[in-house]
Amino acid sequence: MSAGNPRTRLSSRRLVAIFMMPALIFVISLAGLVAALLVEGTADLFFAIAAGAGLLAAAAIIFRK
Amino acid sequence: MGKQTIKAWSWVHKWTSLLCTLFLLMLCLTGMPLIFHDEIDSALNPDSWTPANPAAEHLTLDEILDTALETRPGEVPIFMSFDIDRPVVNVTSGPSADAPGSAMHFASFDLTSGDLVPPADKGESVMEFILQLHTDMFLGLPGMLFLGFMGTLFALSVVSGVVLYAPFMRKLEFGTLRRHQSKRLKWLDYHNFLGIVAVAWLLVVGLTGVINTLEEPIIETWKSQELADLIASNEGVSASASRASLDAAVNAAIEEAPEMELQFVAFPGSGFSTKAHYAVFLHGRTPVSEHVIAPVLIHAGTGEVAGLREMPWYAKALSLSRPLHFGDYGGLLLKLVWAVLDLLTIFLLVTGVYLWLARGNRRMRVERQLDDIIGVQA
Repeated sequence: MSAGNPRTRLSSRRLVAIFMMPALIFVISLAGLVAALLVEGTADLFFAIAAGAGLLAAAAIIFRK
Repeated sequence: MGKQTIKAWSWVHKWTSLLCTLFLLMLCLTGMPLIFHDEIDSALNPDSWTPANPAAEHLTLDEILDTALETRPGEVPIFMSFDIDRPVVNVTSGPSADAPGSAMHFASFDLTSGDLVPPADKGESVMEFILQLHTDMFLGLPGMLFLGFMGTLFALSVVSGVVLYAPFMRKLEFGTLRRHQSKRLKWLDYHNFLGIVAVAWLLVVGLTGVINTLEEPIIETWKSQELADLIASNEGVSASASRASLDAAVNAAIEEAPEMELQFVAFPGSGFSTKAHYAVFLHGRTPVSEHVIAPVLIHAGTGEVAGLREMPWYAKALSLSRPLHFGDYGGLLLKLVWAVLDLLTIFLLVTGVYLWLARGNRRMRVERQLDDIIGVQA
């Protein structure tokens, strides 16, 4: 991160906290997308769910009470 | 991240997004039916066809080719492909091997009798229209390259969106949606949240789309670099000279790579071969290798095997980028995931335009930007 205005500068700890969930979703989704291409059979179902990890996360948050 | 850096990334995000929005919207709308093209085709064309002589020995490919050309006098063969689940051979012919797609004729033949198989083409013209609009907007290579540029802008807008996500979420928890504050803030939060959870798919589909737009240059580069020696040694050789047996050529190709299976044949002079060779395309049998094809080139006059030419990395990348772009490789559930993410992309485009339109005057904009970046806890 570049040094800048203290109001907008982010500590690396905060940066990790901000990107923790997005990075996790990114990795799971990408793994699902690629694995579905490389593996055939019933595992496809599992990898399709992994590819849609972002959608599951979005649904969980949007529809929570 | 300093104010200037944020400002620069905001500028990149705003303009890369705005410039490609209209085209991305078209791509998302036309992409939706393309995800389900198999299901749409099956629904419109229920398969009632059965082979004439199911128990009979199959005709040879040469016999099928002769039959096909008898029905199209004056034409030459361009491609031959094979149905996976029924004994049907498809022959594409045209006035010349390098004829444009619009001048090509496609016909299917029963391998057990040589009879024409009725075309399952209900709705095909609509799907072809959609595919061409999606691929090149009816502008050929310039259209493809233009859409490739739009795809590059889109990828840049996604990357810049990820960079900007950090300062916007500085004081907010993941998944914060400020639904009860201003309308603009609500849509900003939805835009940021849905954008960040879909980044992997957005980048994969965007970047594979860009690779797909480079299909013609990639094939041309492959031919001019990897097949240059074969093309040079057969310069001036006529494609219509005496033809070696197609069956023998296919069998010889399979002997070259027994671990692979036949996918299609490109005839001499066609876009996927040289002027003098059959290009017999094989693909692997495993899930990993089935998308990677390799041509065995066989001299169409002598039947001499010129060898298996592994496709270079950029052509393999093209082969893999097709399924990864269209999402038709992992069953119906994956297609449904693709469709929902496609709708989500439309939502991101529309909310992006809304946020830009609702930006207000300059002073308000500065205040809003600061508010957005500093964040107000929900």
